[in-house]
Amino acid sequence: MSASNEQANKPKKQMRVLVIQLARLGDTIQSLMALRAAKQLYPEMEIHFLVRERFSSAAKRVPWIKEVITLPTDRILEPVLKGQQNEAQALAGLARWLSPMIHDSWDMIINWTYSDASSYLTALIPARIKLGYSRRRDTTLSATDGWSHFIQGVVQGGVEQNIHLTDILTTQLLTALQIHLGEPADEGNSAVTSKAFFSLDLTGFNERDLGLSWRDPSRKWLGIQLGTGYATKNWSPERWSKFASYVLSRHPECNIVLLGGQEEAELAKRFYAELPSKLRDSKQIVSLIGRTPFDAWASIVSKCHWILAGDTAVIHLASVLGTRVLNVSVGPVRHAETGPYGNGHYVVTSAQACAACESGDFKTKTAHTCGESITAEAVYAAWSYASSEWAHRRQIGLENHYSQLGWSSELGNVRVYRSKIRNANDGGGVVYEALIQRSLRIQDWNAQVMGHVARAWYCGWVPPIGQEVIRSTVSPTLIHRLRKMAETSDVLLKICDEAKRTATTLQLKSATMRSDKIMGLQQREQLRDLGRKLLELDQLVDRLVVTEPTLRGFNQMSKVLMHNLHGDHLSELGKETAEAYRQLHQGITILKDWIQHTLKLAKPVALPRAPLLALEAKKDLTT
Amino acid sequence: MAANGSTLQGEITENPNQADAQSAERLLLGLLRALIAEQDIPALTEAQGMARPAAPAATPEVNA
Repeated sequence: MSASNEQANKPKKQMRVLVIQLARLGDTIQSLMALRAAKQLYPEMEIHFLVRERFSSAAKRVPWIKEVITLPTDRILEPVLKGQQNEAQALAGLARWLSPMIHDSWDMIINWTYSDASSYLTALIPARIKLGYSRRRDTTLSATDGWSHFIQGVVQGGVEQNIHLTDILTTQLLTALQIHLGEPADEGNSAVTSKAFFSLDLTGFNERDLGLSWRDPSRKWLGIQLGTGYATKNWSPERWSKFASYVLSRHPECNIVLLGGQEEAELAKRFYAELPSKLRDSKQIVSLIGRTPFDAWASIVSKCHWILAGDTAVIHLASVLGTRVLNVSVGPVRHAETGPYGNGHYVVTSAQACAACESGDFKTKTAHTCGESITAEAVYAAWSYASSEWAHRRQIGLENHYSQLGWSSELGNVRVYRSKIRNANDGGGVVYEALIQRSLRIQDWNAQVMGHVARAWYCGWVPPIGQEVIRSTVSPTLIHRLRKMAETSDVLLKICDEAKRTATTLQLKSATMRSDKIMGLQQREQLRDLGRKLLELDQLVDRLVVTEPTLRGFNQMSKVLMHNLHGDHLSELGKETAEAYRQLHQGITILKDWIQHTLKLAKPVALPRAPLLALEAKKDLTT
Repeated sequence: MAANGSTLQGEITENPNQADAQSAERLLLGLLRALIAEQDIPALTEAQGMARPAAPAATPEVNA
């Protein structure tokens, strides 16, 4: 046996990993998907998963998770909120709950919550490697790695970018594992999604009692979830009802099952009120709202042919179980980041951004009106196209399909996307391809640029510039914006150059000092001037971004990078600052390349001489 | 290679120890208050309540 084989066959030491996910169920499922990919490549990971008690059901059904630790938020917080306990008593309770985790020995903590609370938790638990948000000794926030900088500066900073959250988490973890554990044993081509992703406990659950029958293979089941957990992300139940009417009246082979929690009962009432009475009383539609614990819910979702819903956990559950999804994405949602993951899912969004979309306010509580322009007809047309792909093989365009249904007028109100997992050579990850050709909006263009920049920063490999930009979608409005942006990005690039030089000078000058605190007056003046210059350059970027908001991502990244400098001495801080500006410089250079590429793409192209001559010859023959 | 490979490995502590009592108390208090503030659980993509990062720290005024 060769030495390398011996090495490969040697049992690897278990790596104890604590994953902190205190967000909602949808984020939990996306984390599980990313973990599954990592576990397949690095089976030595022993995964312990920390989750809120109320969202723990999914993690508890994953067989390769060693332990699920739950955060009993209600038990800890309720006594304080009700005034039955003071802060000190609550702290004692929290410390007792935390104690076993602090005394355990962890090789790695992955904080995938990206929240305040989770950052304190990460800081409190000792581990050799930490990813995600944590806290420094002085309790200020610390983003421990490059992807966390990107999440803080761009994703949470409300800047559009086009890398899906599942891809970000997967890449972040796999890169760190590769650095710490080396190359994985196999290439990891096994599928992450599967009908058997969860080990479900269906004891006492009889689907036939609920009016569901999967036995007849000629019947198609559609699961619809009316609510999303946030009223701002709900598409109206009246429109869902009209959509259901179209499906059931035009597709007698279809059944619909309504899914969701008890909190969606009111939406279900409105749904039924809108439904024609003959459908309301038929067996074609079953409501299981408030009647399905996690295991039953997951089992039903895995057996449905389609899941239709807004931005909520069920689309991630369906993705992981390999059920196709049609996602009506309305409200404060960026589907490129949190849409259904995998091949062949559909996303329907409004064609027109509402005022809240335009202002970039994507807080979950902000009301958006964009959903009002999406009609039941538009969604039905998209779904009927998607569900008949096996017949038309996408040889006819979606526009033709709308036209055949007599709803061409709906085309102007929606954007329809189809998800696709890119080939690794094209950059990998999920991409949402537009099925209706429309002018490329500046924010969509910028999202592609920011995604490209992130790949260059953190993956070290990028696909060719602008490979997904289609010439016909480059509008005069976009060209006008890009020309303006070209000038501003030149200025930004110069500022980065100057800041990089200034920081390097700061590094070199401070490296010759014996102390950061004791220095000659002249040295002090020089350092002060350099520091002041850096601040002025930073303020200049602030002002520049006011004139060109599309560059906001770089400004926010600059602030995140400066906030996360961790050197103890001035010379180290100078070096890190120069490194940060080098990174920004690289990003802005990519932006400039994108601008040039897009402007070049839009230039009128002269026909080659040969075809022109052929045309002229033809003309001569006919005259 | 990525712009700065060292930023991808995460925060490394060769001999991780528990936070000292004073820091632990501050962190624990921060945790409790943040949990109270996050009762309406924010989405992962949503900007959190944390203070946005401030101006560059690498200046003599701040560090000297």
